[in-house]
Amino acid sequence: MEPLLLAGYTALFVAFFGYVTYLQRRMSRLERQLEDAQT
Amino acid sequence: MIGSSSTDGDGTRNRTSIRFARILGTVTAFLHRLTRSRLVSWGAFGFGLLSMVLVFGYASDTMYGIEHGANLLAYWHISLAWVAAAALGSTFIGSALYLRYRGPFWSRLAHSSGELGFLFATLTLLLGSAWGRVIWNSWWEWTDVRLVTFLIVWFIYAGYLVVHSATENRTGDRYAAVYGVVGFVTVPLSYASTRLWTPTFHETTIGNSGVSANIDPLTLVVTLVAATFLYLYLLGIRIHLHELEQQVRRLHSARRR
Repeated sequence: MEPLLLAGYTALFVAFFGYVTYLQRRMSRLERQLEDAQT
Repeated sequence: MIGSSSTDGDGTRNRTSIRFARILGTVTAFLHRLTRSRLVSWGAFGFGLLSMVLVFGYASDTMYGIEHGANLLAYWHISLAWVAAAALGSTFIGSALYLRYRGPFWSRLAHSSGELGFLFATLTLLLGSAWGRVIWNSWWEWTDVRLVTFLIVWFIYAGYLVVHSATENRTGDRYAAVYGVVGFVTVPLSYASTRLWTPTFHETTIGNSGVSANIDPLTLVVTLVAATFLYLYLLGIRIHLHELEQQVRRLHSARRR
């Protein structure tokens, strides 16, 4: 496989999975804060 | 007579605005349900997988007469550029509706779409630069009007995110909304740039029968659908995050009282 092609699609996957992971982590932190505030 | 006709006019205007507000309410509920539905997450997964199969197993890697594997970056480069424009269009619509109706959903839609549009635009620039290295033998060309105007769009929306994060909640939403409306001018300008000025490398694609890119239409459409589903899926999560932040803020301020 061409290195440029590999680098391009790797960047795409890393960016999307990284962003989804960041959103999920923020979401679970907020849900925890919400639970703590309600109790 | 004059008084009664002006009262009639006010009544008609009120009825129209109530009807419009109802339509907006239905649209809001539909968008909310759509972005959080399983159809969107499974659509993003299924079409994303199908796109990868078509890109790596079916599409030709010869474009503009050059045979090179990196030409296959074109499918996601083009799709991401279109979805970035759609996302920034949503920021414009959300900002305009927020300024008019002050509904929190529109502000959340505008900011979430702005963030996603910025991410998609960044990836468009990265993939485009790598593809350009193959077909133009250059990573970047300052003489190409599409490249330069798209970079301006990127900077404008980087500024939008800075304005949104650097200002306070209520007033900040208003500043960001004004910025979201005004900044959108750069998006259609970038897309029309190849028609308005003489392009050096990017050629006009829509409505141009002489386009020579040799891009497979089926692979491009499937990739475009995949990118759209991906955008909707991420939009659902981002809007939900905004709602959670709002709930946490409300609880904290209630405790302080």
